Order: sequence, then structure tokens, then C-alpha cells
Amino acid sequence: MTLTANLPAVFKGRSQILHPTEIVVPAGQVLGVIGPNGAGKSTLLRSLAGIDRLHADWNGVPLPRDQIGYMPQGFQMNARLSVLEAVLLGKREALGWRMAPGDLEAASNVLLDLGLSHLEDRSMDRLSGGQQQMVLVAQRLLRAPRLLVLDEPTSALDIHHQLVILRHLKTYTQERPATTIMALHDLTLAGRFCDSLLVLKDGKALAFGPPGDVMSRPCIAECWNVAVELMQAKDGCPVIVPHEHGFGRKGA
Amino acid sequence: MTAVATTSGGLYARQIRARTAALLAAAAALCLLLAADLITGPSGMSLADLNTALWAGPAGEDRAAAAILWQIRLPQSIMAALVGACLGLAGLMMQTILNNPLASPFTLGFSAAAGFGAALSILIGGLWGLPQWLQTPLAAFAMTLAAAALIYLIARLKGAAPEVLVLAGIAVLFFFQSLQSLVQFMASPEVLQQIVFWLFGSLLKASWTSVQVCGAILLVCLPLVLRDAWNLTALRMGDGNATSLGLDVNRLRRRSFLLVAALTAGAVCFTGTIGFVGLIAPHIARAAVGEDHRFALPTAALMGAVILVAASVIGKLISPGAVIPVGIITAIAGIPMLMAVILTLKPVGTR
Repeated sequence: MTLTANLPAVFKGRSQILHPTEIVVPAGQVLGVIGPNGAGKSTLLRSLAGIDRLHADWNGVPLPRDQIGYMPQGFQMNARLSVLEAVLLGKREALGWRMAPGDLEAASNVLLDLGLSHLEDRSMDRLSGGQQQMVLVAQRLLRAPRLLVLDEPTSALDIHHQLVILRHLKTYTQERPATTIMALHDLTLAGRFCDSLLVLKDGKALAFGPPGDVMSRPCIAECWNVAVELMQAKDGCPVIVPHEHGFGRKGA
Repeated sequence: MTAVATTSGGLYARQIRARTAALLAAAAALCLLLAADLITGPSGMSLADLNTALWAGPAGEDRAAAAILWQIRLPQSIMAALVGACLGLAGLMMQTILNNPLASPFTLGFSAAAGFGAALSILIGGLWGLPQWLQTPLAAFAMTLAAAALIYLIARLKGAAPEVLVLAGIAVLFFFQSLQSLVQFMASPEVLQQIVFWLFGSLLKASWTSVQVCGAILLVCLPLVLRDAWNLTALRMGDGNATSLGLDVNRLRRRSFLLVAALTAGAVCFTGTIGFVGLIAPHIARAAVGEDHRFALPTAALMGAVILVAASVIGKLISPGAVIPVGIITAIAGIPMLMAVILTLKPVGTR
């Protein structure tokens, strides 16, 4: 099974924020979308998630909407809902007046898998931003989608929870099997957890491939306009160490 | 794993039980207050008398008691409960779709529109041979729906984002308020007095006809509102998230908005504007049962009814001779109640 999406160009007013892009990802793989602020990452993800129109298909068969789990960026909830209820909303279309015990158990198990069981009966409006973000990931996972589209799912998390969430997403992707596409800002994390990376700048795909191939000093310098030290962990995973004054000098 | 799942199921079941209990408590409180409302009034009536007169029916042997109960008090009490329920329900929907705890059924100018319709009807007097008691509510109802149609049209053109709705609503509010002022300015002192009395919001205008109309509107709207319970709950997760869960937030907002308009118009057209019920009842409901709208919607309706019936009892107790309009009572008592709710209550079953 392979996910194919032919994303059309997107304009905002007169400026083009996304050029036509083709995305092909086999099932069971995680694709990371990286690029500077304003590169069009969120636009690409929105288009991929088919919020306005569907563009993605599995082996040529259009993906039903309920098979897509899209998590937008930015959240700050003041809802007086318990965490369990918030996760249950992931099954919104299927929820009836009476709660099916199966749904309740499924929601509970997703929270357990993410190590969030202790928050189950907490009110959403009393959670920290990072906790809310994890609840939203849990909400998406409850839908058991074949395509997961996540816009910076770990932006508010500490290193421990970043690892928990990304590890879990990777396992889910392989076992379902699903295709996961997410925007990330932390390049080292992206290199560690993604099977392939798409580098986006000014709405155009700059590079695409396995992290080891994509992440090179020239590519990073061109895309973000920074000078970094590129090292390798023992297992070959690229590690990015920024220079203190490494910004603003192209290719320095 | 199963052990944890079972305990959490138990936790949720406990939460549901606590909420159901809160709902039943509100219903019980409403029944008690209705009884209290029926036995208070200028001419006293004991609980035993009430019981006898109720069972005897409108054609009971004690003519005086039957007339007082069946012609005056019963329609007024039931009307108080119905109007309160409509306003409580409409208030919660408004606060949810506008994502604003300050919203009420009157935020978008519905009360001003109803007031203008009523004032205009009182000013020009009977038309087409309609009796005044029927024409004024009809005019208020029609004008409320006209205001709603105006806002709906703008929401259709510009999208139903909360900012668009609020801005359009504020424009409608000021427009109808100025028209209402114009009518008041043109009216003679006697007519002006009638207009002001209508604007106060009083249950004295209640009759079996108004009970039937208001009850019918509530009966039609309630299932439509409850059908959207999960969608309204999902909307509380924010527009972006609700959209990503496959919800068309614009359509939900427009649909809910029309229901709010119908409920509000039905509530105010006979009794006049009764403020604060639609603002406070949702806060009490949310504080008591949280924002699962399966529970919050019925609780808000019940709390609205409880507040208005209580206000009616208080109004009759303060000055037995001349009953103080409930609109004034709710406005005066509303603010301390709102403060108390904000400062003290928290949802059952969550920490």
C-alpha cells in the first residue's frame, strides 16, 4: 500500500504559498516535513488532510475522510471536559446518546498507551499546554486513521514526552499500518524518528529523501540560513549542533 | 491493562451518575419551586387547598380557588418555567457557538428587535382587527426573526465565525434600539407607559395561549438542539480541532443560531425581555455538570426554569399587592448569583 497525494498550488491573495507538490509515502512510514517559518508546511499539511478538498489516495483509491486524522497547530482549550471525554470526541461521528462501552475502553487504552492515564478525569481547562497537546494526539489516535497528519505534535513537550509521543506514533504507523506525515522543527528529532524528510522552502520542495541524505550542511545553510555542525550519532542518525553566531551568513 | 480500563470505566460511570443526580436535583428543585409559586399570591392558598383545587380541575366546586389557580397562577407558573427553559437553553448554545462566556440570548440584539416590534405594535394599535394581546406578541416574534434573518444572511455571506456573528449582532442591536427609542419618543405618555411595561418583562401577560405557543416552540426545538449535543461539545475543542474531526463548524453555527432565534423569540414575545437568566443558567449548568452538552443542555434549560420560577416567587413575596415584574428581579439578583457561581462551583467528577 502506498499513499499518493498530488497537491495543487495554493495562493493567498496574489502570493503563491505552495507550489504543486507530489507526495508518495509507503504504508508504515513516517514522513517529516521540515522548513523555516512561513515555508508553507501548515498549508501543505492542511491540503494533505483534505480539509477543503481531498487529494490523497491509497493505491489509487481515494481515502475516506474518516480515515484521516489531522491535528492542526495551535491550541489553547478552556473547555470543561474531562480528558477522557476530550479523547472520546475523536469518535465524534460514531458517538450516540448512550456511550458504547467499547468506545470508552478504547479511549482509556489510548491514554494508557501514551502514559496519560493519571490525567483521565482531569478537566481540560486545568491542563498545561503540553498536556493538552498530548490529549489531542490521543484524540487522533482513537480514530485509528490510515493517514495521520500532524502539525508540530511535539512543539509544547519536554524531551521525555517528545520521545514518548514520537515513539508511540512510529509504532502505531508500523503496526496499523498507516502513513504518518508531520511537521517538525527539531531537526535532530526529525532525523531520529522519520523514515524520510521533505524540506520545504517558499512553498517549494527543496529536497526529499532519507534523513541521512537530505540533511547536509549546504542544504541546512540554504534552507534556514544558518551555519551548524552536523555530526553523527553512533547509529548513524544525524545530529545538528548550532553555532552560537551561526545565523545570517549564508553557507558560513 | 484490562484492570486499568475497568477502573477508568468505573470512574466515568461515577461521573455520569453524579451528573444525572445533578440533573434530577434541578428537576426536583423546579417542582418544589413551582408548588411554592402556586401557593404564593395576593390571596393566600395553602398546600392543601392547592392540592384540592388542582385535582378538582378548572371547573372545580370552589369557584374562586379554581379561577385563581387555573386562570391566573397556573399559566403564569408554567410560563415562567417554559420561558426560563427557553432562555437557559438558548443562552448555553449562544455561549458555545460564540465561544464567549458573556454571551446570552440577547447578545445579538434579539431583545431589542422584540422590543421594537412590541413598541411599534402598541403605538399603532390594532391592525386588521387583531386583538392587541395577540398582535403585540406576533409583532415581537416577527421582528426577532427579522433580526435573526439579517444576521443569518451576513453569516452566510461572510462565514459564521464568532467575530462576524458578534459584529453583525451588535449592529442589529443598535439599529433596533434606536428604532425602539424613536417609537418611544413619538408615543404619547399613556402609550409610552404601556411600552415600558412591556419592556420590563413580566409574567402577568401569561395566558394558556402563551403557554401553548411557548411550549410548542420548546418542544420542537429541544430535540433538534439535543441532536447536536456531541457536535456542540466538539466545538468546545476549538474550531480547528472540531473541523479536523469532520465537523462543519459554519453550518453548525448557523443551524444553532436559528434555533436560538426561535427559542428566544418564543420566550420574549409574550412576556417581554427577561435579562440575565440566559446568561447565568448556562454558567450554573457548566459549573455543575461540565461541558458534555448531553448533560449541559438539559441542565441549562432546567436551571433557567428554576431561576425564573424562583424570581416569580420572590417578586410576589416582596410586594404582595403589586407584583414586581420578574425581569427586574432577575436583573437585580442576577449579578450576585453570577459572582457566586464563578467563585465557588466546580464540575462534579472532575478535579
